[in-house]
Amino acid sequence: MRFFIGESWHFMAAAGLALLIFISALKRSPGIASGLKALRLAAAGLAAFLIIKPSAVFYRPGFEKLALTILLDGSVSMQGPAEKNGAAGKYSASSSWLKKNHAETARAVRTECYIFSDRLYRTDCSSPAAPAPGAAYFESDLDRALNGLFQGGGGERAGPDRVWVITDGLSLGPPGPGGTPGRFPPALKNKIELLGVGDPRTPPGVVIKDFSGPGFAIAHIPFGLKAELASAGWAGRKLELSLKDQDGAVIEKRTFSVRADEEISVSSFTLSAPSVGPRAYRICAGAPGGACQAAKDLTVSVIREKLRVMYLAGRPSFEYACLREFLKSQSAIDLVSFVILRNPEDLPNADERELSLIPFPVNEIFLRDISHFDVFLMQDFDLRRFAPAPSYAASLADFVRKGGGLAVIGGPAAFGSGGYATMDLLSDILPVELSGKPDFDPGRIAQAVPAPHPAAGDAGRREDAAFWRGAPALQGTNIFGPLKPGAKAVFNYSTPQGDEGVLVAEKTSGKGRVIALSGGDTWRWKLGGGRNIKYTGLYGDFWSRILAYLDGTLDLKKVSLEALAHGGFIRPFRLKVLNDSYVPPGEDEGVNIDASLKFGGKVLPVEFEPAARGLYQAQVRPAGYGRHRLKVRVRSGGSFLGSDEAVFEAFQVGPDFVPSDEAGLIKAARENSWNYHRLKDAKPRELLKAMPAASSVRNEVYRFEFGSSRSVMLLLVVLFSAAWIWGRLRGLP
Amino acid sequence: MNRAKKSYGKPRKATESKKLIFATRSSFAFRCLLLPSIAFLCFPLLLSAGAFSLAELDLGAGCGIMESARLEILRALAGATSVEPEFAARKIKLSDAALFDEPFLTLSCAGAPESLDYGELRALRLYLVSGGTLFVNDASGRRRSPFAEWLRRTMELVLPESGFQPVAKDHSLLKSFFLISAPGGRFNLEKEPAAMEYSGRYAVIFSRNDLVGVWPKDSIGRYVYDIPAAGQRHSGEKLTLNILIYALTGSYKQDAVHQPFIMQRLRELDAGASP
Repeated sequence: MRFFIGESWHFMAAAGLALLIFISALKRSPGIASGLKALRLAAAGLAAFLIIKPSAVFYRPGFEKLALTILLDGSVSMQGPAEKNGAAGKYSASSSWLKKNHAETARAVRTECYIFSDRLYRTDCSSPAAPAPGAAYFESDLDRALNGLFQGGGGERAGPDRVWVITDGLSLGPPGPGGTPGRFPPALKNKIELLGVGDPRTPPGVVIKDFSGPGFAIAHIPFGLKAELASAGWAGRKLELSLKDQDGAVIEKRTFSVRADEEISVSSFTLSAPSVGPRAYRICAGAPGGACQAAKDLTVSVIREKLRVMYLAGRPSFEYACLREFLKSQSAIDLVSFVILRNPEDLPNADERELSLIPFPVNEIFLRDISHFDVFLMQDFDLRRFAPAPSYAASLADFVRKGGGLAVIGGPAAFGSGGYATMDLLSDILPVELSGKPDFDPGRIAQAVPAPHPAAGDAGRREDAAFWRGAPALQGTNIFGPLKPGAKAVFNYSTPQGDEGVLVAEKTSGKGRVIALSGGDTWRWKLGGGRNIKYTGLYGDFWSRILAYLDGTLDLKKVSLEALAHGGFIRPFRLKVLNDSYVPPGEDEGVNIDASLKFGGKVLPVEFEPAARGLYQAQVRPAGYGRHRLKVRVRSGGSFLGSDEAVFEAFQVGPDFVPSDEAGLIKAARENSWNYHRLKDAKPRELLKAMPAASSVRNEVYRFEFGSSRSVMLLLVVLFSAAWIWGRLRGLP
Repeated sequence: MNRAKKSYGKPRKATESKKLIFATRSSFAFRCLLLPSIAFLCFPLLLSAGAFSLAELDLGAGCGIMESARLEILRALAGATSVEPEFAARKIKLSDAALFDEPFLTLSCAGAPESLDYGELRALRLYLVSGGTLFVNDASGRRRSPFAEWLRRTMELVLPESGFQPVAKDHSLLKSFFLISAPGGRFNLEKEPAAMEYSGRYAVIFSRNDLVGVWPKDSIGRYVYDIPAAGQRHSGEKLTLNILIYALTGSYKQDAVHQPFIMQRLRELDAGASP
């Protein structure tokens, strides 16, 4: 039994003090019988005792059951067969084992069961349900699951005494080095039992166990992809591994001989991506020249370290000086520039050795090195004179078709004046029709008028007519013919005489983009910032947008559908919408989204909800397993803004047998001081024996609260009443 | 023009001038044919609006470039390089709105101009920081030149964050077209021009050797000013053209792709193969 006091020491002190004062007063009271004094003291003492809220607790010794948590891997790989040609899946084999042994474990320990994938889903240990479609993720996050159990990796709270993890080890992301779960906090040491489910042996055939690469790669810079191939029953035969790009073209093919009956081989490929954006790769294995027996896909996001710009000018000019200075000042641009300082007929009246000139490296620029650049700027350049062979123009056109950006800047030796109209390969990719005659008018004053085009700048500035009316006028332009089909004006111009024309036009050609700029003195916009501060920055903005258009980072689509990251069967999509002025539509513009999901001949409607201005989101539930096509058509205010579509595959989980990653689980167990067992050999009794001994505990049997007891309160009343009555009988007040 | 001529140099000897009269008169008919031809040939160039022009900053009396010097410079530029200059004369005041239509301005003075007022100082600063380039030529030939002192005081107000520094030997200004090993000029007061840098480029380039003075010719094609030192005129001409090409190409020659070639040529020059 233990005795407790419910109040703080303040109450104890107050009660003790009150009792002392009472005793002192009692002593100084003459003529009171000793018995009465004792009665009064007893009543006061009991009252002081009750003030401190005393209680008495009675215990009985006993033992507490240990806590065991069983985690069941809910990843899609667990849905596959446990054995080659076996009917039972790994997940159902695991749940059967759990069901069979639940009674035995429940007797010995307190048991909780969870399915773990993206998070923990509690389940009944006696009949664990299959993961709901929303809970069956492609990967299971063991680190997150253990963190959830132990609340911070086991450091802050004890959590269960032991955890059994039933898994095939194939998708315990995020992986550590070697593709297996990484190191876990030391607090989990000796607390985890890994139970491997499924046959770990590779069946006869080929399996690509892993196909990995960097999350990001830099355009033009070599990066590596690694494929891990497991073969069984191929001893003495040859195996072919093919790496293909997103168009199905073979990048590299390797053939090697398999020596052992079961062999794991790792192949590394080094490649580079020519342009930015997501790039898909496929690794394919099979007999040489035969069909692909195993394949795995990988997408690498290709980013740009620096934009590589080649700037070629036909003569020194302020345009060249200003644009070159601007490009050099951009830390994200690697610039190589050439300017023709001297024509063959120019006589500098000096010894050749006094000149700092080099021969114009036409072959290097147009043929050898052009593929190393992202953007090619060609200003007032007389191709007939300096690059007359058709192969140069062909190389330029090929550069654009493969994804390069080309800007042709006007001048007295460009466009019609440069004879571009007679160069079919070049004129074909230009966005405007060219005159066969000289078309440069040096006296033409061109006041720029932006067209509704994202490359023309932000809409606020674009729509500010007064801003553009006051902007420095350009002087001297090539006079373009009409726009070609598919081409768009970025800037138009008007002259003081009322003539109008195209100043900047764009067009895509193959995978690349082409800009034609009829004027060659945009430097006036730079100097104009000195005359009027509101034009400061106009020059930089203009060229930044032109470069963004050329390198493909400026989005020209008014309607674009984007698949968001997902972990389950539900696929989230985001839709971006811009109106005809390339700004997000306002509420009053009435955007009408017609979205549908096509699957196996069925067409299902999809609802997009507004998320922000110009942004809409939808959670798309696949209609079945297989290829789905989500198509979106957007209209606003009666005009058609555009359409976009996305294709995705909903996989039927676990169609093929994949051996469990026993080696990975053993490695993870060794590195973290855990234990590994095969599930089919695991005996719960032995696993339970490995748990620590149950701790002895004192179980509370009875608690007596003095203040809450009626008899104690009655005793108090009786004592006070007896003392009062006795005093009255003695004539005391 | 005449007044400016007087202020620039010493007059030729009278006898020498008399000897030239015949030649001058006999060439009159030739010039009557030649000049229209030149004008005809240059007509397309005159139309090249936006092309390079040797515009002058007009600061009043005591400053200016002789017309023949301006034309000689532009002819040399057109003859030696692929630049097609504009021959029309232009004079711009700091108060003109057209100041910002001329990215390159020349200021050549023999004496100190009047101090600039606040508006002019502000306009000059805005011009330079917006990308304009000013080539300043001291035509006085004096070591303690009042014009140089005026320029120093003025530029301290216009670009206080910068200051005149000698042009580095490896700077692209000295190799923008010719490889310059000696500064040249009508006088020999400095080994290299000075410059004020703004935002990584030379915004103001200053020569005390009177580079403009090496160019003017009289009506029969003889140089107006004698320059006794051998090669001084040629070097001055080369440096003048380099300054113009620098304004039109920036630090182009600094680009890495040109370095090996340029360094090889410089090594040859330094090894004694100086022309």
